Amino acid sequence: MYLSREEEKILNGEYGDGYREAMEILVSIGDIYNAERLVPVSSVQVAGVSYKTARDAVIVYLKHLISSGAKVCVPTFLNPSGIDSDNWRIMGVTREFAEKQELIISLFRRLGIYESCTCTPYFAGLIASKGEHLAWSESSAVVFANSYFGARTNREGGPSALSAALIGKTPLYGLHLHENRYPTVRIICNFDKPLSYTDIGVLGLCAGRVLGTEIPVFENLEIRSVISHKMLSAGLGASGAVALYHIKGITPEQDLCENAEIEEKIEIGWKDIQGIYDEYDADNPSLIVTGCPHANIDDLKYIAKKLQNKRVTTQFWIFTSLQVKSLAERMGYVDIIEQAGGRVFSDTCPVVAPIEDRFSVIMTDSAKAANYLPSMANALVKIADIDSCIEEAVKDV
Amino acid sequence: MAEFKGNPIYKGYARGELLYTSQPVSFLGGIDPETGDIIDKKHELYGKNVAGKIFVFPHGKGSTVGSYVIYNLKLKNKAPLAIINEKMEPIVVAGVIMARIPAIDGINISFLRQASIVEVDGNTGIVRILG
Repeated sequence: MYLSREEEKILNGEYGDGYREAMEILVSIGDIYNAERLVPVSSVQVAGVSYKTARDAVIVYLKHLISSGAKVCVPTFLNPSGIDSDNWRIMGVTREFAEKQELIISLFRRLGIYESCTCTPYFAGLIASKGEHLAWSESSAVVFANSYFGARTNREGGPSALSAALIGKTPLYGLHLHENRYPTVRIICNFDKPLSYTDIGVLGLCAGRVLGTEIPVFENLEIRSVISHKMLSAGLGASGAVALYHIKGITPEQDLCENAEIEEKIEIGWKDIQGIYDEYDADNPSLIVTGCPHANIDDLKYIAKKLQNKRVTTQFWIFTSLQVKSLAERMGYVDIIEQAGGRVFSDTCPVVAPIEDRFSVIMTDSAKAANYLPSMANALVKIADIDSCIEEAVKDV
Repeated sequence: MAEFKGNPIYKGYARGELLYTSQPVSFLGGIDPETGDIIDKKHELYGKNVAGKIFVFPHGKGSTVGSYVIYNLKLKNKAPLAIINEKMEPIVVAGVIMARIPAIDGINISFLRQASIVEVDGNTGIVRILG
């Protein structure tokens, strides 16, 4: 891989160990993918934030980077944390966990990273344009950035994203290259009724499971709202390897769709997504969650409207970003939801918060959450749309 | 004495007992980051331990937080002595660099299946079966 003189100096350790190691990681990854060179990135999203998954290793690693004097040089945002920094006690998190988590966040801050703690950085002010190079590393956000914005990012991981943030660059391979962004499979949708947001997430999960690393172009899928693209991105990203989708007539890279010669074709209809609903069909939830990925202000307005003057009889938690929660507080939505007994948490999420073994059945409107909760929370799951979730939350027991 | 040439990923020399699997390995959730025990019940190596072994598997999978698992193993002295993959992907690449573990890819690992003692040179990419 070509390195400029400056990049060589960094790799030789002339700017310290932290930058050297970051460059080693970028160069090694670039080499395995035959990247020609490094490319500057406009922003970075860093994964490996929650103490639940990253554990003590990330603490040691961050301290090691900080001691070398390293700092990020591009706008860098964080994935969700294991705690809501203001309300972790209410969620039943232990003080021991909270202290470790707060330490991790403070170490990220010392590197110059924004304490954003959200999987929807685009609802918290981070946007991108078509063709812009990024290094994002949250599976739903990666798909969203590539597909809704038409920006360019690979599925970065914790250390590779952190390295990109320190150097301000990422190796030029994979989805950074035009020729790798063509769709390779056509997904012909056959839905006679409009899809709910939950249906769209389930469609993503369903398609993602058969797509592997392919890039789909959906046909006959009229979805334009940002929330629907968020849900589709989340479902596809959760399945494991999809990082980009196109939708005929809708997404920004229509030129790629028109010029692709695709032989493979899959048809998806109600029967297929019903299969996913049947798979996640447990009864009697003791926890109901929404906001995976994080809810936006319209979601909170809707939930407040439905919960007005009602009381929940099952724990009902809504996850969102700090920015959205602040606006929702100002608008009075959080008060209404909490009067009803619901909870609005920011910064964290049901997948990376330490809620394992506490709830045997969790109900959610998120296909992404459904995919992860069995292993991450040791729970059975029921997927249903937000209206059904709220109905279950307030029903007489 | 059989010798194979792969791609050097991280430098260093190691010689030790082989721990081989033909199944991809997920570090997050698959290996205990404190002990090196393989905890994935569905994996053929369930119950085995990676500490001090020349760990051979086709490639990594799962969450990229897996890199921190490799790093933590090194901190706790439970890391493999070296890692050999057929095709190393970013989780393991980042992990071996952070943990400074000799690593090589581009090897047809089935050739190593019957070996018990293996020597790894991460500087040259050469793997030798010693026994």
